[in-house]
Amino acid sequence: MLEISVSKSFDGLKVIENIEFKTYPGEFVCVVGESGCGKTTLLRIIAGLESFEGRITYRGKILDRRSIGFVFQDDRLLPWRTAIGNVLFGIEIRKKVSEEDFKLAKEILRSVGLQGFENYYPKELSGGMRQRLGIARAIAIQPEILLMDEPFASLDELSRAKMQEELVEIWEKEKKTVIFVTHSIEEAVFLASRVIVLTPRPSKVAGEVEIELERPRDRTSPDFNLYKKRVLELLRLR
Amino acid sequence: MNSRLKLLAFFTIIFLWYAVVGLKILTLPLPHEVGEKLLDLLVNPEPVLGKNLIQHSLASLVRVMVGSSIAFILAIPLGIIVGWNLKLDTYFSTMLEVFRPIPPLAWIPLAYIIFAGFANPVQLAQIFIVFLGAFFPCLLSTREFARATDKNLLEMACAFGASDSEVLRKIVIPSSLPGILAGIRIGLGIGWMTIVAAEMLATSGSGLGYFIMVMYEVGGRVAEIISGMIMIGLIGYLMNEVVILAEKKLLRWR
Ligand SMILES: Nc1ncnc2c1ncn2[C@@H]1O[C@H](COP(=O)(O)OP(=O)(O)OP(=O)(O)O)[C@@H](O)[C@H]1O
Ligand SMILES: [Mg+2]
Repeated sequence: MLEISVSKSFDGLKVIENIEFKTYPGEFVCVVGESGCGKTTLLRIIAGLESFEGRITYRGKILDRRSIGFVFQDDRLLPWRTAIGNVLFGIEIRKKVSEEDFKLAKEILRSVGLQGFENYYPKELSGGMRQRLGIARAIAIQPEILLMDEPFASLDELSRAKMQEELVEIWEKEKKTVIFVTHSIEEAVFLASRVIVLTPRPSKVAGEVEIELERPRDRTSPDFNLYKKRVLELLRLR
Repeated sequence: MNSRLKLLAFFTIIFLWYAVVGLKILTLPLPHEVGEKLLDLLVNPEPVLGKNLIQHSLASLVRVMVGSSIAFILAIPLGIIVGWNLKLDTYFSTMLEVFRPIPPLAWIPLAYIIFAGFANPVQLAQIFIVFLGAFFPCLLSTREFARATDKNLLEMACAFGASDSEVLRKIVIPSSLPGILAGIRIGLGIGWMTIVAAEMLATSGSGLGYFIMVMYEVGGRVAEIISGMIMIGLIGYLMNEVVILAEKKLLRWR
């Protein structure tokens, strides 16, 4: 179990008042909140990229950076490495790459729909493919917690929906804890087991919504829309 | 298309040469006369110095390769380190900025004095001058690219738990590679110009610069002089092309 209780100011500007929540193993948590409320900052804090006040514990201990996989909003791929080279990046940092890891990397590329593109450079891939490669790189290190910062924000609606479905499939297979940041309510309700809603800056947890919908979820069903409404209400957009 | 334009450019030069001589604007041997001389000098030794043009070219090339290799071996790691670490940069840059404005050729007299005690002072001084000519462009180009390493990628590596040395090896060095190669290309170019000039100033017994100078001193043998100049141009061009080829191959990802 990951327990988070953090606050954060940037020289005088209070960004996070106090965000407090827990995640359970294998849970898919979506964090929603308006632009500028500190969602990226929250993920960066969890990943150890930002100083903060408060505490973060994982199974009762300080969270180790190496148990985290990070998928950035911009893909942050290494342009001089091919797709498979990028997937191996995180593994290389943990250990010497073996034949086995190579096979694993190929397997992961297949699972994100990039088979046949192993030797392509990032510039030769489309935006959606690059985003999938970013996800592949993060899951290749077999992290216990996967942090995702609006990874589909820059995609068109069609590929976005497709990527969401693929992500759910991957998550159902791997059963990692996922913390997924987004400002799309529909995306949150489609993906999450639980949605955590943040208030505007300085942010706190405004409330949580447990999403008890069967998967695969139907975006047009009345229940789906009911959940969207509940999240919206928490965001006080209405 | 590209190669046709290159050919056209080449023939334009030859044509202009014929025109300038034909219209008596300059008194020079004609292109085909020089061409004949050049081919002759490539295989047959020129009597005054007893060496053919290939031997002179090789002599110059060896000096350039030795001098610039030493320059690159030092400039590349230094460029990466100072580009990466801002504090070291301020320290080293200030030191180097003092030397940079001094043209390599201005070092020649001092270089002779420094190397006077060695077995082959002229050769050493020439290599040293090439070193100076190649070092700074390579250092500056490498440093600029190392410094411009994408901060987002550095942070990504951190998020994946990379150590400082891993960040250096896996992020900073590969992202500096275009700068390193450009530095090598520019450094070789300047090293080549420097060696020819340095050879003209001293009795080195061989080298294209020396050859040209001697051909002038024994009585203005224009065809020989121009042949030497053509060799200098040709070799400089080829060196550049080789590095460009390496760039194309190594930087396919760009
Ligand atoms: N390095 C920094 N220095 C100063 N202020 C910062 C820094 N990083 C973020 N902030 C501020 O913190 C606040 C939250 O930023 P953050 O990027 O976390 O928002 P966000 O919720 O991710 O927004 P968006 O949905 O637009 O991505 C913003 O007001 C921003 O100006
Ligand atoms: Mg953000």
